[in-house]
Amino acid sequence: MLKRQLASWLLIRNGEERVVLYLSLLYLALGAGMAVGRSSSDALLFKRLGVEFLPQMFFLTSFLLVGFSAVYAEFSDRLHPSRMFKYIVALTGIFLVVVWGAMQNGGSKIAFAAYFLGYGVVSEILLVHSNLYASGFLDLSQSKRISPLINAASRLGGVVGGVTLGLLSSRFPTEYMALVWALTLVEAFFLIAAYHRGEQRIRAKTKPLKKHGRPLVHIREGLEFARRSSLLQIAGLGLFVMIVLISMQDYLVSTILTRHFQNERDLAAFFGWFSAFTNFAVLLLQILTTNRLLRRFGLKLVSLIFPWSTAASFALLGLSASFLPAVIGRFNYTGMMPAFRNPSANLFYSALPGYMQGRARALSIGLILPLGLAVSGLLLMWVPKESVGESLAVFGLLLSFVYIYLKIVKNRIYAASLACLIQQQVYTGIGEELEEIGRLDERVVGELKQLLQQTEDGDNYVAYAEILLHGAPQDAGKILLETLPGKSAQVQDRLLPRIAELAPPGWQDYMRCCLDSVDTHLRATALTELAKRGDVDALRAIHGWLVHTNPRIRAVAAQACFAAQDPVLHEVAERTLRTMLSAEKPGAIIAALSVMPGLKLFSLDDAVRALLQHPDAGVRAAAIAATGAIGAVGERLILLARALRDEDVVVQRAAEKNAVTLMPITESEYAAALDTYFSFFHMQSLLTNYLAQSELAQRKTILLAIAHRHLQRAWDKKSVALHALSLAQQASARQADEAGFLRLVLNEEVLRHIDIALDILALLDEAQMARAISAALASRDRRLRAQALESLRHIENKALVEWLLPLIEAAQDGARWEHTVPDMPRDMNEMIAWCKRQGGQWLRQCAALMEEETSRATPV
Amino acid sequence: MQPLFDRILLLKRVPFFALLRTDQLRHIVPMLEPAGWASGERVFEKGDPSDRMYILLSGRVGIVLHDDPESTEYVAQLGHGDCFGEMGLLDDLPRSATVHVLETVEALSLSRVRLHGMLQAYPELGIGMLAALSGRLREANDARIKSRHLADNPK
Repeated sequence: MLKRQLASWLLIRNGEERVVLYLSLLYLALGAGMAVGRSSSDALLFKRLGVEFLPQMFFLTSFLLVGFSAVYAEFSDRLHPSRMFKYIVALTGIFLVVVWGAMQNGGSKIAFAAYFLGYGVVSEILLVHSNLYASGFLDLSQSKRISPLINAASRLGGVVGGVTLGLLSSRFPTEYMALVWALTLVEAFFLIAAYHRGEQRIRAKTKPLKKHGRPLVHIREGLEFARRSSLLQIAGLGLFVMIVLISMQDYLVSTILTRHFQNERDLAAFFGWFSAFTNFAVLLLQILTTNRLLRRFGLKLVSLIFPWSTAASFALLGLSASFLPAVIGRFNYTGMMPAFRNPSANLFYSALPGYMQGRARALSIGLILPLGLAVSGLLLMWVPKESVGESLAVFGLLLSFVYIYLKIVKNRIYAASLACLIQQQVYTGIGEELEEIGRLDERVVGELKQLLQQTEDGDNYVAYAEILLHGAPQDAGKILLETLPGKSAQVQDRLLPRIAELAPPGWQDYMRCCLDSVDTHLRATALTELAKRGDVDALRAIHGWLVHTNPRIRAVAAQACFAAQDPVLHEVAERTLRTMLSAEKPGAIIAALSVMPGLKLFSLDDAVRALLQHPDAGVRAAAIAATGAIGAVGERLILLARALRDEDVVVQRAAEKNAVTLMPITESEYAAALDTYFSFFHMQSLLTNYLAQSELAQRKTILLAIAHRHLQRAWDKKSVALHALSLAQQASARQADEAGFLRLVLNEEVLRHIDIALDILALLDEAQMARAISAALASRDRRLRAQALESLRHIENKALVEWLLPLIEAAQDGARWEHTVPDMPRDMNEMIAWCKRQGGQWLRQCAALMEEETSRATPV
Repeated sequence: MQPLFDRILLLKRVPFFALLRTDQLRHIVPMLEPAGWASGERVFEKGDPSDRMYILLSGRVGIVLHDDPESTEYVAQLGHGDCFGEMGLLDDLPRSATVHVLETVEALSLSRVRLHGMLQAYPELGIGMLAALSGRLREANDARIKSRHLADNPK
């Protein structure tokens, strides 16, 4: 019970306990070591060598980082992260023991510098690698919950390390702290070895080592990618500015603190206790604040906390370069940075394609970080000693504003990159691109003609023809007339009306040839096109066709009559169609109905209405396709709804296809229809789709209102679905089964409400992103879904997003759900009644069937 | 509970149909035809024409790949909720196995014509079918690896 409550409080879900415990213990050990290492190396350098050498140390660190990160990058791709981790930890431990020996009995000044530089390099490599290692265990949504938790364990380690240093520094020489750090690394080594012990047997072969230049290749590839990725450009620039800022602050703060404390032991003890305090404060922040802020507001807000705290701390130092502002400044880069900046920076990498994430990290650690340190070192060496005070702080404050600006720009680009990344992974459609073709030049037209002649594939032919028709309409008719004969009847049929529109020389002869085709569709199309233009041969042929034994030919002849400008022919055609509509054979009826859309034969409306109830599904499907002009909007929508509910899917599809002709016209008609058919999902999607495509002024308002309503209903259904679980426990066996079934249907309907809301978002201004989110949510890929959730936070329409996010998190991720409804059912009877009242069409039907069952089961 | 709901839940558990919503499954339920065999009978034999697939409601069947229909070397035994006979509906080839009834069986069957119609109506069904077939392929691969391992290491 306690374990479950603790897990729930810490946002740990089922199955995550073991990995969270392992990573927490590992980070605890590493955190303790780093706290000891940082505080002791700082104290030793500042007092034994002098704080004025700090800029030189930055400069040297930059070169060492280039070298060590090159080695790191070389091996990080070849070795499993756990193995790499063990090597890093073991080598650092050996280095510390050697350096401790060199620092003994006063030691050489080089040893203190080496200890400081060693910390600078190891801390960066451990930070990068531990994050890479942990990210292998977690996806984006897990990262957002769990990474603050394991970082908090590292903070707790920092507390332990700080207290240890505070206590030991008064009893032992400060250089002994290198051994304490080494001990924590031994612990980390055994933890990693123990956790991965079982995996040794199935370990894959290591990749062969390439001869040379591999790390440089990574950095070069990272740079090349940065040229194309605006996110990486802005992130790189932001990182550079941040390093300069932090180095400046470190130098300024360290100078003030070194002046304040008289001896090395006092300084080391202060750093130790300060480290413990900082880590404890950050621990509370990470557990209670960071992950909740990330979940509530996303990266957008959290990534701005550190830039603002940096600006504030520089402002304080600018007012007074004294002890207290220095302490606050040190808290900024030792506390605020790991609490807020590092977790959010790691999440930003997820917006890069997987194959580039490693390269981007290599670019950061191998180029930007050293460059930043080198520039900072040079800059600070150039600053006169007497200016290391308020004036440096003011410069830092100004640079902080640049950093904030870069972060804001990065946030904007991040959202777009994430949507782009999802689109690369799931197909979301590319839309109509023909409009972008523009006018084609002669050479391209010639090439297209050649392609049209050569291709044997009908679809390819039509695709080339479409390009030609858009890009060179003046040449298209002639080229099509030359290349089309000999292609399949279906392809010719599709392009015949386009040729007739363009009317190139000889088109009528070609059409007359088509009248002799064995393919009825092609003959009909040719006849219609010729009759439209009053072709004498065609009109003569019509009379024979109107009495043809094939109903399809009779029907197309009737259609062609309406294309001709002759009232007598119109009358004959109408008679023919009426006779066909009352035929016994479905084939004749379907043939007549298939030519009726667009003819607007109001006199045949009653006949068509009657056919909507015909026992043959093919007739019903053809009838719904012919109902475009029947009656008022209300009646048309009733007919559409009925057809969409038809038991035969052929009729449903025909209704869907024909929906455009049955849609409302005015805003009030749309609003009324959306209200009337609120619980009919299929109708809702059609209505919202066509409303969005319309030119109606109030369409956005109506769509947003209906999206809200859907999401509210989804919230209610989600609550009732969860409640069904507890009702099932109290009910009889039959009712428990029913509760389970209703829960299943309720959850399906929640997803359908979400889909409609996302569709509406896509139909409004957020088309690309909403479609990407929708596709990612529908995928079964956890990482994609997590990225979709993150993208959703960046959608402009906050009002909808606030409703959508918790729903999707609960539906996809099993997050906690606390919403309730005022009329929450108290037993199964009330549950059934609730579903009948609030459910979609199918849920209502289920509830009604269950009610019937209950009344049958209850003895009178 | 209503038999309709029971059938829908049964279909929901069959990998073939798992991706469909309950309101889509209700249209499929009426297309299923009841079938039954007594213990010792054969549902079909290897080489028979494939015209329908089956979903087991109760009882147990054993699958034999051997050419001799009398053979009882079962490569798999199926029970409640399992389906069989779907391969032939897709590749149009004769049955690749003989199915023996081990315990009296009640089943639902779906004909090829109806399945093809359903595939057009509910494309999600195709993904479910691929998932189910891939599961079968995995099982077959595992069985092959195991038998090869046994042959190489008879002790």
